[in-house]
Amino acid sequence: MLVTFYQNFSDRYTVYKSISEITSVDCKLIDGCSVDTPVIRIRYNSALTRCNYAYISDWGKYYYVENPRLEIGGQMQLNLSVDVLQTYADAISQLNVNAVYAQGTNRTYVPDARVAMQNAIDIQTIAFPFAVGSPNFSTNSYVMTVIGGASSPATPTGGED
Amino acid sequence: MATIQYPTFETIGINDESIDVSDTIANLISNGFLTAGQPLNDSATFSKYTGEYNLCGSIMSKLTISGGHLISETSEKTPVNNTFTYMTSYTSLNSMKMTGVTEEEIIAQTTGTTQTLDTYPYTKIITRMNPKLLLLNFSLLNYRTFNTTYYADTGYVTPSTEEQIALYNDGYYTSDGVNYKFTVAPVLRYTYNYSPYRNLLTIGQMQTTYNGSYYYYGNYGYKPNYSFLQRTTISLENNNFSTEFPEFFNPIKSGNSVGYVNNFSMMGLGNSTEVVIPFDTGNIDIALSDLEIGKWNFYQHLVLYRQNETSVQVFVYMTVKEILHTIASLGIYFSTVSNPTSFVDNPLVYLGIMDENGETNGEWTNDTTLKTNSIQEKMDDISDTPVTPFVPETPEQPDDATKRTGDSQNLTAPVNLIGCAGFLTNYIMTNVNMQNFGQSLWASFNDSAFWQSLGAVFSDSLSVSPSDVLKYIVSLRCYPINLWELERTAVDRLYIGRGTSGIDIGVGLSYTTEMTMFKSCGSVSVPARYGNYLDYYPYTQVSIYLPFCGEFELSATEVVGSSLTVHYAIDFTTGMCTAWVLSSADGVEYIVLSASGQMGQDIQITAGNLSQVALSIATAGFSAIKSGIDYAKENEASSTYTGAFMAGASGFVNNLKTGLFPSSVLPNPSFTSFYAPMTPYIKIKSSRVSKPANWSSTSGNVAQRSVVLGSMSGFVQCVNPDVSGIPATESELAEIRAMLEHGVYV
Repeated sequence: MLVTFYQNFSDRYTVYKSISEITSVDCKLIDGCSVDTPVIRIRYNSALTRCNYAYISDWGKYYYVENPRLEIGGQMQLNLSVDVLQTYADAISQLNVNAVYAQGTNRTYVPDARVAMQNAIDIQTIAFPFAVGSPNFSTNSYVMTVIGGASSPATPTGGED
Repeated sequence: MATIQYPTFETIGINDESIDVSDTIANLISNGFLTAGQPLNDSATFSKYTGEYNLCGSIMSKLTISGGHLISETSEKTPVNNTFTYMTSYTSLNSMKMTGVTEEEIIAQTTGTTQTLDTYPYTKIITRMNPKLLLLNFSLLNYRTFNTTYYADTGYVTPSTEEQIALYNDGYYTSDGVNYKFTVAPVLRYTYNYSPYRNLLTIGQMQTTYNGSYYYYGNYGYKPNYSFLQRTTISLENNNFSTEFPEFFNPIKSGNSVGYVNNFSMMGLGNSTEVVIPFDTGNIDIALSDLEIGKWNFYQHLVLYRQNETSVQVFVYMTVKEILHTIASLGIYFSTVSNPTSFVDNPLVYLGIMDENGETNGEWTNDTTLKTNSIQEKMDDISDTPVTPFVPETPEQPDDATKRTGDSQNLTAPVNLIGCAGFLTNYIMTNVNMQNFGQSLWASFNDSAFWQSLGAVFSDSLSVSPSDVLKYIVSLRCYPINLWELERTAVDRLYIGRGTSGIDIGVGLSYTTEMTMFKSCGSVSVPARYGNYLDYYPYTQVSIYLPFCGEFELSATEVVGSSLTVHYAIDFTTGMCTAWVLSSADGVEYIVLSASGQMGQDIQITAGNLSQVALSIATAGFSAIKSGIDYAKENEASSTYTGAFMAGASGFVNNLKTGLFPSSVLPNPSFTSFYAPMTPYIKIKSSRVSKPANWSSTSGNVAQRSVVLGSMSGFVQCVNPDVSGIPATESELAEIRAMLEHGVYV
């Protein structure tokens, strides 16, 4: 079975991995292994020690290379585990999902409860342009309210202001 | 009394170059300020306009014409030593907003006698409104200052490349240094056409468009032998101009006379700034200085703002059109003639167009019909102002800042203030009046004839006692405000009840029949700090302090991003005041808070021991009555005084016990409230966020939306992903589902 080996530079949670092909080798599967986690035996090749990723074309699946071991007789044994994100990347990309958090978008006015707030606040004061009164006592006004008085028709009014 | 609404002027556009101002220029010429074909190039012509001119109301409360820069055109090239500022018109007045208009101020302004505009026929401003607050939002990008000796019509300024030349010729005015004309330049010919003031650009536009180096060729120094090559770099990186003189050479010969440009200095870019200029205080001096009038067709709007011994000069450069736009945006009448005898039917009197909401757009009209039907002419009658109930709409875009819709619920001052003429009289008294009043009371306490003459009261009794008269005094209060703005009637004596003689307590006494007073504190904007949900509750809390009422919490979600206006109404019958806080945003205005408090503080004259009364007044910091008592002490024989005083005190106490006096005294008058701040203010408490720099790329922002995963980029975290359709085993589908819920990078 032809297996292509790569170097993977991407995080496990990346849908489309950034991989660089190292070599392709005809490998032998260990009997009874799982398709999701196959185990392959291969002649020792120093280049394989740099590989952390593989692709089995017959199955159309991408795998992480895990726990490579050297064995007697110049053989290597590699445990593989399927990478579902890369294997089904095209189908996953077509999914219509409800994204709760995303890097490429931002709902500015929806609170993000994950963000930590400091236990301090900033205080800003802004005064209105005009005061309602004057703190200068000399400019105070006095109002005496009386019954009748100058505005009464019985009382003379007028004078110099 | 007629009353005017409180309009709010919103942003006006001033970059419209389509307005034809030829009539304005013609009027300038016809009124003698400009003379066709004869520039203001000699001091005699110019100096006759030197001086300061007071305008009535408006943003330009004072017009100053200074020596400015005079360009000598004599054959001897006599230098004129002047300092002037010459702008390159990267300056833009972006917006203008005003609030707060009271009719009292308008009357005071329009009936004043300080208008000496006859000698300056251009800007005759006949105001209908006096803006209390002007918000100028402008970009001051660059201006150049020339100092010392200066010669005109010589020298060259030339862009260094053909492309730049084409740009200049296409987009810039040039000035004709010989004929003093101001035209769009077909070619670069004259000294000053490096002044790009046709296109008023924002900082970003200017930087984007003009990023690069420009070479200005000119002559330098006092001597004609030195010329310079100046390179000015407009840099996006440092947000500034930089100027260098890579070389000097001698001389430039370009088929014209040798020219000189001396001490060429440049000021750097400034950021767009909002300046709040209050107008009601006496230490503000607003001046419009026409340093360049007629010659370059733009104006320097010089705003001097002095406060607390700190002088700040703000230069706003405006073209003729901008001036007219600005004046029109005030919604006032203005004219280019010196003494228009009529407004509405005079084609030379213009009126800023105003819509029914009191908002202007910077346009104006001189059409008689339009002026007759203008909102300004109808402002005296607001009785039929429709009020439509607010009907909220369901927002279509919840992911947005708080929006307001509906009709504005404007708070307007009543057409006629509440009055009770004939029943009550509110005397407005000066300190001297108070002193004299106290003196009269105590000096004449046992003089029955005095009390008889003071108040015959309703019984016309011949035996009128002090208690008979004083019980007609409803209240005596002190207000920390200036009440002389009220409409009032002067009287020479203090009359009480039906008394016909009254007390002479000095000049300055007047009374008003108005029982309330309306007072505006203007508007402030509640700024958004983050531009996201953090600006709202519970992350941000907003409160407002209202003098005499207290501090109140406002809904941050409701008021952030809006403009708040505070109005006060003061009731003289109770001394209470009511404050209204109006929120204005998205063209909707409504009341968000109203509160009441005790503004007028009672002065005790009819209760308690008289000595305590005097003491309470004196210790409260008001010496008026105490001074009156002191005066009485000094002018009465001690025995007489003592006897009268004690007899009076005894009578007062007895009367108090028997409850003869009406209770017009609050149990605990507190003048200490006068020490509290008198200016309303808002307080914004904002939370601080602790957020890693790579938060977005590793944790994502709030999305809350349905998307096709492949259309996204970067980190995406899903909820309950539907993975049907993927040809994978059940265990693989479960793993895919788990990883999508954990978050994947696409």
